Amino acid sequence: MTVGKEEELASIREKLKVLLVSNLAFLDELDPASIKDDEILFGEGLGLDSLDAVEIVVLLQRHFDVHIKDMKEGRAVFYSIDTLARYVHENIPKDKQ
Amino acid sequence: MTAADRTEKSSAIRAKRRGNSLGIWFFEIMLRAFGLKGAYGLLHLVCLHYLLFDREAVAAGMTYVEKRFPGSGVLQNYRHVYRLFVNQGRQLIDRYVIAGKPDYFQYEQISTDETLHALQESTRGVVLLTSHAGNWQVALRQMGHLKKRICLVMRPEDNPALRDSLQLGGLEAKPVKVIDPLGHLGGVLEMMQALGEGDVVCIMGDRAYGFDTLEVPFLGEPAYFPYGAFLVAAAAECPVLALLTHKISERAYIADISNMWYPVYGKGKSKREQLSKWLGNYVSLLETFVEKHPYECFLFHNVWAQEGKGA
Repeated sequence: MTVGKEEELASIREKLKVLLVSNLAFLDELDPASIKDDEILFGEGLGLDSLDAVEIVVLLQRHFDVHIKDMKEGRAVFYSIDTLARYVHENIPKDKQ
Repeated sequence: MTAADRTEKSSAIRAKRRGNSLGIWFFEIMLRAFGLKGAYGLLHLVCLHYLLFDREAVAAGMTYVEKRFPGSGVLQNYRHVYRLFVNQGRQLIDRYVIAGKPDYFQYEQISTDETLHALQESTRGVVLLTSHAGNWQVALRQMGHLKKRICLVMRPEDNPALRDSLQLGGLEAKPVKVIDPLGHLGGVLEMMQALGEGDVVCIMGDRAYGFDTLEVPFLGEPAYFPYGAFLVAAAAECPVLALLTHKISERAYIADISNMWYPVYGKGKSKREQLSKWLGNYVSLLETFVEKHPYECFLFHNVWAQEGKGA
């Protein structure tokens, strides 16, 4: 893994945390920096629910131009900030990087 | 919502299994021998049995009846519940008939150019919002001419005997996809994908399946209806089309698909407030329906109590 990729992933993770905190009502009092990269997003982790997943799908589209085409991937992609960031990194259009 | 939460709430809303293979066989015999009238006749005896001996079913129907017919006496309310049982039984029989004879019932439609365009020509997906009021399965069956694929957000039928006999009311003849609301993240990702591909996603507007609800007035009291349909539609930038169906004669149904909303968030109000307004429009429409057709409302769960709070 190159250093460049790690830096890009870190940048995406930070941006995702800020986006989630500023757009999901349930997290609005949370400090983005307090969210761990590997913290589980739904259920027992951050406590997000299925309707928050809808918001995240829209956030990925609007801010990264990333569309989850095969929703069967959702279970793995929506697991944590880190898995989300890796999916964004792999699927973000070149001009958005 | 965690899987454990969903399982727990699923158990809470699981309907008691009624009917078995032998009972369904009797109805089949009556249908073959005497047609619809014969099966409907047998239904009166069966519903009387449920009225007398199935306290859970009576209590479920009574919640709605007491709101819909305020001021009625106890005996009158039992009469209302009995009529509800009979009408729901007729609906199940009709679904069974349609599974074998898709064109058995005549079908009329109330629509507008806009709603027809959304259903037939637009490349956008459509959220078709219906409730346990009228025979929505009949209307969906009649949408067989649509080019769009239909995705049903519903739990698989709990009762194997009913599931095998009804087979989604003949809908299996169409390329219908079932999205399980108790699946991963409540199936919302699958719904988003389907809408993105231009499908019709049919969602029950009166069943929360454990998902978030908002308080809106219904039949004079605060009630709790799920707002997921509007949230998903707003996210997917798709319209929400209400589907209301009722029976106008023994062999004819009418479906109203003339009410449609485009949920787009505006500025100045919170998303929750806007979702509440859109949801209120739908529930108001549903209220008008049950005022006109009180015995075609099969809300056999308490929408006036929040899930987990005595629902």
